[in-house]
Amino acid sequence: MEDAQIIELYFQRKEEAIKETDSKYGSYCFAIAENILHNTEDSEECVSDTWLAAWNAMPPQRPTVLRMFLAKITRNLSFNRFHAGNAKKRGGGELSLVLDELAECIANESDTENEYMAKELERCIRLFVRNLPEREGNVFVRRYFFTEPVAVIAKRYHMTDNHVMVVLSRTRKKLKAHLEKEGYFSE
Amino acid sequence: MNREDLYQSINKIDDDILERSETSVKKKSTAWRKWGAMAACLCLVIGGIVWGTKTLSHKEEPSGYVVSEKGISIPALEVSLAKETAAMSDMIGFFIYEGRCYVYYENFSEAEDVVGEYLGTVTGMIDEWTPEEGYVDFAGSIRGDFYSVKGYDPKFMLCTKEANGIVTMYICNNGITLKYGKELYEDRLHLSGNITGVQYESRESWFYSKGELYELDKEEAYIREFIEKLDAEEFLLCQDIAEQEGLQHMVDSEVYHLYFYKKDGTKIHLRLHENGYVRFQGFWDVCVKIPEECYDKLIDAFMQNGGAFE
Repeated sequence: MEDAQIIELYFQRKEEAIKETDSKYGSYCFAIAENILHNTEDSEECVSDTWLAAWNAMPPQRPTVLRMFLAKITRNLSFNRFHAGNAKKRGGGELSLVLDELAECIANESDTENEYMAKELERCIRLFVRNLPEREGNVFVRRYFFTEPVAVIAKRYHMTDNHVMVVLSRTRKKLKAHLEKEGYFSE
Repeated sequence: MNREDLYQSINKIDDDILERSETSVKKKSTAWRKWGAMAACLCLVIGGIVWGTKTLSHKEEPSGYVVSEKGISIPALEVSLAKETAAMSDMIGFFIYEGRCYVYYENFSEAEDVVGEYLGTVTGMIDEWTPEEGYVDFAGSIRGDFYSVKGYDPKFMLCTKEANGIVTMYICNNGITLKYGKELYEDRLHLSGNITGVQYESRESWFYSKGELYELDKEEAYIREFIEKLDAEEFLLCQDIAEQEGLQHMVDSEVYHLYFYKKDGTKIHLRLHENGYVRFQGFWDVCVKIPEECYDKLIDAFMQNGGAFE
């Protein structure tokens, strides 16, 4: 079923929407959750929660790219679940590595700032990624959005693991410089 | 700001950038059968393209596309079967039958009559029970029965059907060589003589699923001429065209979607680009260039008919 048809089912409040979404994007969303949580049961629950969140969001929201709309929900829910403790306690996992890597982009960690600052940071990151060369941007997205292991990214783009790590390292340095320039570490 | 804030802010990366990371997967050329023996890992790799100049009699690029006097050889999709990457392959609907990889093309709601004989059942991804010498037929990112499509070469097109009557077509768009448009549009898709209607919509309408479709008269001379040129022109590599046109992606120059509805209930979905380039929806990386005069007639018809850009 086409995405537009699936979205229409949500707008008509037909429960078939969830069945169709699960059929088309269940595996896709599960892969995203599993990358973050490394736990089948948790990941399956996150996918189920994704359908519920999608049901609550549509309407009024009408996603332009349903797959990415769902991907973002799954990623967010999986991250929250990780943060809540269970996955974190198990230790390890790709997300722990990813978060450690992202810490390199920050001069000194501090508490979350206000909502305005969070929105500004989102804008800043969006522009940063958009302006990256294509391959660098792709590698960044696979690692820090989809939380994919380096080896998977390497395979995807026919690079060596080492090359992927070099690209990521270079991009993190660029991001740090970008954040500095935008005044995130001024104090 | 802390690392978690940074991670969460990445959630707002634009959808097109996220999509791009999925679609620009590159592939190296390898023997089609190689994955069968290499069943240790599973990843679906879609060929990228590097141009092979036509002045060379044969040129193979790292991406696996080969340009020669015989045309453009689209490399077979390499499917390897590792648990850790299996989920990645789920992103694209595909399955394997008789050593060929069939990839999702379109859904059709009025094409039940074309469903042919039952050929097999896709059993999902290969997993730990796959033998080392992995015979991977019937593996795929979907599950369910699949059938031949009446009137089409099963080496090119197969389908699945759902209880609600929806028929989903899968085409083998890889591991083949194409030189002229005719080899796709006539030999495989049987376009001429089977058209019952023609519609088009703007790229924006298609992208946002607005459904702002406009009809054209299939008997018009400019339609006939367009199809003649579509058949007669040689296939080109999209990446090459994008470079020539100064585009990052071919899709950046896309302006319309054109649909030829066929007697059998299927349709042929074409993507029209600026400067006369035309891609078939099922073949992402190759296109033909319609001569300017002919292409302009079609676009003029859009302008007169409605739904066209300025």
